[in-house]
Amino acid sequence: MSDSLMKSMLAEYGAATLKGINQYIPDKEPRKYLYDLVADYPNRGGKGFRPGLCIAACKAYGGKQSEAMDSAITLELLHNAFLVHDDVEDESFIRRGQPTLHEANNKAIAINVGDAMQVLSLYPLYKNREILGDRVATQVYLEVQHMILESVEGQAMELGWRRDNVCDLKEADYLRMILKKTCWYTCMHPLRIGAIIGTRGQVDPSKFDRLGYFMGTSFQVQDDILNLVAEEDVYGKEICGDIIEGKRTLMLIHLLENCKPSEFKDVKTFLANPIKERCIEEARSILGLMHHYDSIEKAKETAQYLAGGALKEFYTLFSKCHDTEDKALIENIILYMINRDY
Amino acid sequence: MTEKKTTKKTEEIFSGAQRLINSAVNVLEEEIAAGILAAKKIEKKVIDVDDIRSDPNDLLNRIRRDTHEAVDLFLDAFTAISKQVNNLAAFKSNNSTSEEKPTTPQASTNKGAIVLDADNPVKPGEKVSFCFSLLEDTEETTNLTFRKTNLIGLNNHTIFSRALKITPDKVELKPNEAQEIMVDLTVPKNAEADQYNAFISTEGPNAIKVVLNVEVIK
Repeated sequence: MSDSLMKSMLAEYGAATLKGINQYIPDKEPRKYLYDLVADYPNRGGKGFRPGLCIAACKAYGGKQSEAMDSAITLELLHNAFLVHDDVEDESFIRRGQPTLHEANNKAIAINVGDAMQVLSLYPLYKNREILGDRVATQVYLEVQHMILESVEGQAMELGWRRDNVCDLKEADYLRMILKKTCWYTCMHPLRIGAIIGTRGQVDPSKFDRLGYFMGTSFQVQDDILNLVAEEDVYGKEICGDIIEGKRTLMLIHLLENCKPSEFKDVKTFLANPIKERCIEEARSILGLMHHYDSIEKAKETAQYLAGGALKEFYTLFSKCHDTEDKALIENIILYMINRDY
Repeated sequence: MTEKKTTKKTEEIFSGAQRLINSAVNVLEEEIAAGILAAKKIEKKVIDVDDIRSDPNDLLNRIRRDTHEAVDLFLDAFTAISKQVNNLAAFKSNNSTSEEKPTTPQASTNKGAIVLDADNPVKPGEKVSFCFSLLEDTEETTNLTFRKTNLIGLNNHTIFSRALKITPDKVELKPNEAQEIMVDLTVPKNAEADQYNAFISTEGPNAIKVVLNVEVIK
């Protein structure tokens, strides 16, 4: 499968999911301050990663796209709700090439919109009963509940590190935080939910955990690298934004572990300042240190190793599945991560 | 010379990748153990466990009767809470004419985790032992190799996995053969007081998952 076919399949599943999201948004007031804004982030066009994995896993395990649609809608709505709230919490300026929701409106409205998106994500789960039956629908519901809980716990860890300006983190701390904050909801639960639906609950979902964890971590590390090295108009977020926000990325952790004490002190002082007082020049200087200490190269290597681990898990788990485009889609997402050249 | 360098580089890459993957797997398994214990605590608070266990038809109850009496069975973390409710739903289904009656394979493929609680708190320097039994109930011989994580405390203290000794650490189970597994924990003298848990598991499609739970006091 070519990269373009992979992207077109993700786009196709993403478009079907977006159509479903729009169907679940009430056509009533208050539009200007709520419902129009609920549709804002989803309509900006994401990668369609989560619905793509969910639908592909469902089909690879014998299910139909229609059976996974409501779950995919929930996953994508929740993802966008997280983004709205994350952008407020991170004080971000740009999301998918446009001003963040709170920048375009205000924080109070953005938080309320995020709340509404979370509430709206519940109804598709309820609707699941009609097509999947009570037992499988309940299983999916509880997968989602666990997913949200893990995500907020992971976010809490990172926000806490930033509030307390924690600078003595290790690789394992990062792996734990990203497992909770990103992996469960980006890869692990979408795969698990898809397979549960495809098999009508006859699969042990925990067997997808390592695959989803390795994929999710590799994906997140690569996304963090792009934040430092990509072109802003291509990436869709402010370059070096993660440094300014004080995100505890693998590169920052590596830098803090390896730099000289004087440099450590400078970086720690920078991170202790309120976000609005951190300037881009200082962030670029920290980026220079990351290059100097090979923090970015090290992170690239880590992402590749994890993608390699994911590929091994994939071949173990999916070897008994028939060769289909959906199985190939998951494989190609992993291969894309391994071969990524930034 | 060049070939040697290439080989060395390949070995370094392999070793680096292996170390990273092991570290990631340990983190995952530690989190799974923490999730199982959290689910267990919630179950104790909100579910009438005696009532649930009184159902003679429930597969999990049959497993409970068949295992060592010290073994308390709870459910896997993420199937976790899901399985708790699924089983509650299943009881209802069994008592009605619902078409959603769960089947045995469904229950058995969603392998639950076994939680082993130490009977009493232990002090640094003391030893505590856990025991569980395995029974191969298929017609195939199974080879199992156990993995263990560090013990992680609720207050983020750590006891390294070398304090745990699993005997035997590798098992070959023939059809219908049973094997008792001992897990000895020697609490290090410098261990901090905390409620610790560790995750013991095997690789493969029908992985064994055991959570150890022990309180260390000063």
